[in-house]
Amino acid sequence: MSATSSSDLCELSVGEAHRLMRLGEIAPADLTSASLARIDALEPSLHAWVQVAGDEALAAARAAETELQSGHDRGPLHGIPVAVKDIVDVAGVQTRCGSKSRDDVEPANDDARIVTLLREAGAIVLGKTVTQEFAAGVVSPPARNPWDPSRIPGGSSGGSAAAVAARVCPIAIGTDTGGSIRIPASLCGVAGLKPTYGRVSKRGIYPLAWSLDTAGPIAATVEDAALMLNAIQGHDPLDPMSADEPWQDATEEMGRDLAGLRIGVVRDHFLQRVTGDVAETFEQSLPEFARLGADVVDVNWSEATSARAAGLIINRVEAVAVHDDAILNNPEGYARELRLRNQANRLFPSAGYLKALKVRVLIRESIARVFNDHQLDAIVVPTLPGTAAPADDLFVTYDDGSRESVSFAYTRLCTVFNLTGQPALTVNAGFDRDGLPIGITIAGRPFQEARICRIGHAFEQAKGIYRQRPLLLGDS
Amino acid sequence: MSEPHRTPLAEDLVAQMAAASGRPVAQEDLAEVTGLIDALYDLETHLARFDVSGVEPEFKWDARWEKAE
Repeated sequence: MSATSSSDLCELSVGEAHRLMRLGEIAPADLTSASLARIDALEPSLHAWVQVAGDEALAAARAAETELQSGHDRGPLHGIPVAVKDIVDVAGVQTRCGSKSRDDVEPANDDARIVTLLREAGAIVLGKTVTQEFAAGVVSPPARNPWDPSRIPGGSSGGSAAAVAARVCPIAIGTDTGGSIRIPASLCGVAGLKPTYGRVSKRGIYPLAWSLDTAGPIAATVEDAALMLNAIQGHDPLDPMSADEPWQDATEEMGRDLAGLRIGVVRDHFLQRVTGDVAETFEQSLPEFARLGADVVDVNWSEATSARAAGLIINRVEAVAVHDDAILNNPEGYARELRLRNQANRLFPSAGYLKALKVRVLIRESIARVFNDHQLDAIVVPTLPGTAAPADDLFVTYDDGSRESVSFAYTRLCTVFNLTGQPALTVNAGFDRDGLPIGITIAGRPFQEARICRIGHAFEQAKGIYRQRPLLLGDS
Repeated sequence: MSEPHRTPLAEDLVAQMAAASGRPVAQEDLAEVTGLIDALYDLETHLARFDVSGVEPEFKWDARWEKAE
């Protein structure tokens, strides 16, 4: 393909850009310049960025170019611009975590482990993206959704998802404790991959709830997400929760159909309360997996509702341990929502938290049984019960007229997989009546990201909607 | 095990608990804080069906299923 204009460059996937760079048709600095130009053009509507390190990014891109010219190719991410959620440390830059309490925080001394790994893979850090305060929420103000700038991008990795959806960059770092990669990825119509708990180091990332926190890719396509996961995965002895698991090529099964795979459909908890558009899009997606060769079977997993409950309790109580002292010392530094949430959570009995930890053991056994009894490779469920809410009305409205706050609605289906620790990938499956994206989630066996990436990639390619452009980008 | 019957948490009880913990809740925030705690108790009812006798809580855990099976 010919990629000459700045706008064309922003449309390139990681794989496409890398191929053109190896051919010498484009240079890393071209890509980074195109990203910076797009930030300038869209940021007044998008509000996705906390800080853009334009000069540093261009310098790094020129260095990447020099390396390529000398024959040193670091791989698929060489010269690829990446966005970093602002709870992740970048050396020399403040990690403000979306909180006034950190307005004057010293710049980070070191890169987070995953930023180090991305740089070693040749990626170019563009800057820091907007997060909900300390990643504890699903709105990510002031960021907006490229599909409809009057609506939220979701959160807490909202700036990262908005930037990717607006084609500012093909990949971004998100973090996910109760859905914070998958929620904004789904609402913004891009791919979001929560890796298995422990797959990716959390060193240098501000915690929300240590026994649920994960970091992973938000990307324009499933292939891009897999390529990014390849760069950031791996055991980190300095992260106590990091799993000593061998590196696995997340793209190794990609390009194959789904013949021989078994995919379970879990309806109970996941379709109990969703909008009609979500239910319809989900049901219409299922035959696609069968057309691609998979056996699609209905399965029951009655523990899913409890998984969500245990996950939310653990999330809320562990967050108290992170923030309680800081809020006591500087209450004005925290937004009201998080301050009140902390006041509530600290009064919840520890017995409830301990029970949730025990239940997690039993729920993991239950989902392992479901997979083993049905010989499943993955299960598919809707990612969210609804689509992107208006920024001035933070509710999901269901077909019967009932309403649910986004903070409960958006986490209801996602948190389940934080509790189990399974890898979970959201892929855009269609649009609602307002043209807003609807995601479906493919959740797999622990440490088998390659399998769900194969399924998600095949589905994404078959549907062919991943290249549709958000409203913010116009029709050109 | 069946889900327990529970009654909604009362604001005055939350006010007393908060004061006793040394971190009183402002009157204008009391309803919201009470609602947030009440929501957690609601969630906890979904855990009542599990018999966790003999199960150790895992503070450092491993997502691999061979550990769970």
